[in-house]
Amino acid sequence: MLRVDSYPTHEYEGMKLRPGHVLPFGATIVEGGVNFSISSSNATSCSLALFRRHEPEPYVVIPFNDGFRIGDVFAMIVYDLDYEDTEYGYIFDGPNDFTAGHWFDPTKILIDPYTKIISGRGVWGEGSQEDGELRPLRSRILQNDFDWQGDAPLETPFEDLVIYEMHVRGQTAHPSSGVKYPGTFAAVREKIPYLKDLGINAVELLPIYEFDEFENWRYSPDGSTKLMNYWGYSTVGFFAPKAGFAATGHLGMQADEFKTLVRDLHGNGLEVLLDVVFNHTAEGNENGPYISFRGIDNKTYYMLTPDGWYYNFSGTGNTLNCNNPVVRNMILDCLRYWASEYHIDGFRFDLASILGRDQTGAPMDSPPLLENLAFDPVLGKCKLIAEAWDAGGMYQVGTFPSWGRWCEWNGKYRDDVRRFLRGDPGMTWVTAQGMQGSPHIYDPRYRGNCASVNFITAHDGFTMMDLFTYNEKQNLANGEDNRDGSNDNYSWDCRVPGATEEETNALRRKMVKNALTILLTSLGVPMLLAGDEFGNSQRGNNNTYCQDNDISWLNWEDLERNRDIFEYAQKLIALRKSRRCLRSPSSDHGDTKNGYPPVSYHGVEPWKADMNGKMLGMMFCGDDDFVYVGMNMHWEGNDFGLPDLPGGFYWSMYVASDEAVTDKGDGAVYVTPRSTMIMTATKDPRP
Amino acid sequence: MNIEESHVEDVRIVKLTGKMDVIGSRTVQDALIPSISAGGKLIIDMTDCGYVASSGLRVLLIAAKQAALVGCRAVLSGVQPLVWDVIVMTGFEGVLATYPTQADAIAELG
Repeated sequence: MLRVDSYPTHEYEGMKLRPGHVLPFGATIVEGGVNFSISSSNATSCSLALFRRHEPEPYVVIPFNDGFRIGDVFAMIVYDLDYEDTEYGYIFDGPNDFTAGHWFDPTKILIDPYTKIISGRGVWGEGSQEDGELRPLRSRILQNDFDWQGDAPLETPFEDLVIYEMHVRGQTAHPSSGVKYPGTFAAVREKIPYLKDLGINAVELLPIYEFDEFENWRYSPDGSTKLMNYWGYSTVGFFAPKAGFAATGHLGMQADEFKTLVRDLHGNGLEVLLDVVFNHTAEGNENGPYISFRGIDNKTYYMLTPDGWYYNFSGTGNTLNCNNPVVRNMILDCLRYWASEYHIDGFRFDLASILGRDQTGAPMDSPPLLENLAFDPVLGKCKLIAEAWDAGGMYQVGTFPSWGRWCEWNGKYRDDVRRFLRGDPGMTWVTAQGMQGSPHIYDPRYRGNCASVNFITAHDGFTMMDLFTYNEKQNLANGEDNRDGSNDNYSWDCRVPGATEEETNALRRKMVKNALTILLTSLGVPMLLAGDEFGNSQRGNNNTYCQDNDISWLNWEDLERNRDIFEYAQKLIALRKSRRCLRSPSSDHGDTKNGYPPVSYHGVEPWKADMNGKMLGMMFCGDDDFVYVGMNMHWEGNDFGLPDLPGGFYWSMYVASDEAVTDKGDGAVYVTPRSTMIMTATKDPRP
Repeated sequence: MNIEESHVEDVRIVKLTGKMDVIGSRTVQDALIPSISAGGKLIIDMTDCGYVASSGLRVLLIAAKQAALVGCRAVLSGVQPLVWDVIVMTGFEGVLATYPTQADAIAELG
């Protein structure tokens, strides 16, 4: 049936128009045309600039006349647009008064904050025009009608997740990856069989919102390569997938390509979590470019000092004004869009503490944005993971407002376990806490058993192999005289006096296995950094944000070189999946049916933990399910006595990080220096 | 976009020559979709179609859905490698059966 609003009411320079629908914001295909809607609380006028693809000048600039404005929203339908060949931008006018926080400039063409795809960086690293200038970033119109073929978000119980943190480009950009279109969503899709084989069941993707890889680009200190905005923690468009991550990005099909990846990951039982960056944008500080928000409504979108300067709680020049109601709604709209249109299963919020600051930057008790996200119906089944700190000094690990919904990257777990692993004394108690989901930080009565996302390594910091290869970060290649990156790494180069190079390397591999053992047997949700499963190295660089090269790309040849580490990781993940007692403690219900506590600590003698030593045994018990993890971080070997089991159960060794670990058969296991082992028991008769 | 129609016995062959951009796709959609009929057999020959935009993929997808709805056997033939890559990467590959050449498709449907 034809609709009345499929007919124009106005005309401007040959373009047929009609007052638009104010909602939804953004560019939406409607009968016969495209509905454009955008808001600004402080603008005096707005125009829509339409471009043919790749053309420098607009072919028409259409002002929104008064009849096209409701409240602060400018809305207009433009008919007969060839939407695939159209790029658009907005021009706003209004006060330009620094102290008052207004930056309106009618010479700037701005990206739509709600644009669903962006052109200008369609192929990674190729942004130049003929004159050498970078292509302008422009909004484009997306036909949102992907054929999901029955797919839906997986809603995997949180306690069952094994997360794999991955950079889309870094995963396959290296020539050794053996994929057809390296560095793309399509290439990750080719690697799904590998991910399944490893056993993980969720990928957490470093930022895939459109960003500009050329932001602050420069040559490396030795001039051999370009240092890029590789990680992409600097959003240009919150609703747009990164075109340069799509092999079809030059055709504008990045949304379809990413959705295809999500659909196939789901089809193989893998959830998709996105690392999202709502704390700041790519517009930088007072010297940064006009891209979008600054020219549309600076005072609304950014936290400003009373004198109009940008607050810098993000460490990157500006801070998004997350608890302004307009911005809050945009963030909510954005996450709803990704959850519904892309079937995303969950989000990890970069520097999430900023989301809990008010418009003056002060921390809030019950931040409305965080509460909105916790209770939003569209996000009702999404995982919400906070990086519970910011660059302005807030550190909320354990105290992030949660409403029983939010969980956290557990930075304390990372630091405590690293120190235990390298043999610092007195770390057994905190490690034991960490391995049971950190109840000393997250009271299970309020936070449940899965508030802790456990990790030992993440993109930000050393890889696991580097953690045991370097005492200090090696960041000279970043061109900042090794000042960037964390100095608190709790790492160890594994050099023991008198050891040969071969012995040192063997110890490093064993330490990686020790770390994997602890990570994958800890209660809570484990997160593995991509590549750690085969000993990937970044040559000691602990801040590879700008390294779009083989420093940060996974080298798949390591998979063969370090096959033993991969198989070890695989075995641990399989154990975690098969043993409920490692995933969901029944501590809420007291002891197990055999009278054992769900989690218990032990020393070299069962039930006698040494909370100041370097040796620890952890036993996890279900009703008919026992797992014992023995960890000897001392430089000498020791016998570990195993706890007695109920009748009919027998311990047997599941895996050990060192072949010389020996089950002595008399209820004790000899654990070699700096080694870990796992014993399991079921009711099966002793083999 | 040039569209050439022919028949080999009861098989209808629609040969597309040119670019399936927004304009080309609209032409294809108008020529193709209304005449997809119950019990029909249709080959969309893409041998001379070197570019398929997002709109073009959608027309192929809509053709497939329409064919499935009314009970018409529709297949593709001669899809060029680069076009095929785009079809695969954007998740359309399972939608229509594909044959290397028109003759292969006729042999299958005939």
